[in-house]
Amino acid sequence: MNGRTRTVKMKSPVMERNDRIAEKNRMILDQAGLLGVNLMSSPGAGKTTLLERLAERLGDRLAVIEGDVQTTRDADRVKKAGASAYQIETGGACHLDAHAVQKALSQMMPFGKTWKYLFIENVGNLICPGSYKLGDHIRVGMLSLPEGDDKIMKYPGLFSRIDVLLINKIDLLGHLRFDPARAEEECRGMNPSVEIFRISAETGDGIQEFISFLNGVAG
Amino acid sequence: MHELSLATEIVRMVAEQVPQGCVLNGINLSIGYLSGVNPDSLVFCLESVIPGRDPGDVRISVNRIPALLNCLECGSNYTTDDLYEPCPACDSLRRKVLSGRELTVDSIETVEIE
Repeated sequence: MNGRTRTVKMKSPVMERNDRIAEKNRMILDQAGLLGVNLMSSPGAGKTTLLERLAERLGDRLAVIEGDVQTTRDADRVKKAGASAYQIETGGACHLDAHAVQKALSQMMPFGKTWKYLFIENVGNLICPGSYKLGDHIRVGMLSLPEGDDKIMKYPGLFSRIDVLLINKIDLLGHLRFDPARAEEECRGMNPSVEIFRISAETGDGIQEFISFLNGVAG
Repeated sequence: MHELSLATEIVRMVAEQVPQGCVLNGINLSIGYLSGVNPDSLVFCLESVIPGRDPGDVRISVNRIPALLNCLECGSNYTTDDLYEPCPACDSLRRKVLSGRELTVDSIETVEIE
């Protein structure tokens, strides 16, 4: 080609469109007085079990957006435990993005008058969800004992970006070679202001402390 | 990360900026060392999803941005391309990331069609 060349300056962040939608989501949550929580972990770490425990204690104050590749299993479990739930089936996407959450929020309107907490259970995945803002107020990462205490350093994208680390299945301490102090130290090293709670979604241990923390943020 | 969906988004953003009567010739990206993006993988995916062009028709350049970290122990700032590098002044691993997570389309090159 012999035509004239032109450079077009852009300086555009690739995540800009997602982040703009995330801001709109956040405004919707703020206007409704809802505390938005993005809950992330690998598959099987205990996110849904935690939500069942929270549903038992919070009842109609809790609403949940469930994100999975397929099935409504998780939304069904949460509803059975007493909270409102809306299921997103991504059909293949490995994470939720702001657009998916925006669609879910519009489907959930009008919001329940009793709702106070809006948890978003992300797709089970330690890599991709950490990169997508959803419009939540708090990002929670969960690591469970069977996964091993060496995983924090292996997945820095997520664990350096979260506000809260939940170390789950703490009831298995003593049965597994997991050193909570090691995991906590590594997380604080890459994320100095992170809040850390050792919990068992199965037994309920530590759940009240986590709820108190959420209430402190909600104000 | 999933470089393919990033590539698809980049193509969408870039398509809006190509002036009338021109075709895309090049894309100039900045990728921070802590962005979680693999540049080789992203370039490979871009070459696959740019519509109507053969790989190699559109030159993709990547500017790597080092991370700027602030040591929380001694307060000094240092640049690195490795998140696990301790503070060169005091060897601490307690630090805050000031920059290095960027993923931006800086500019595009276009050429007028004859």
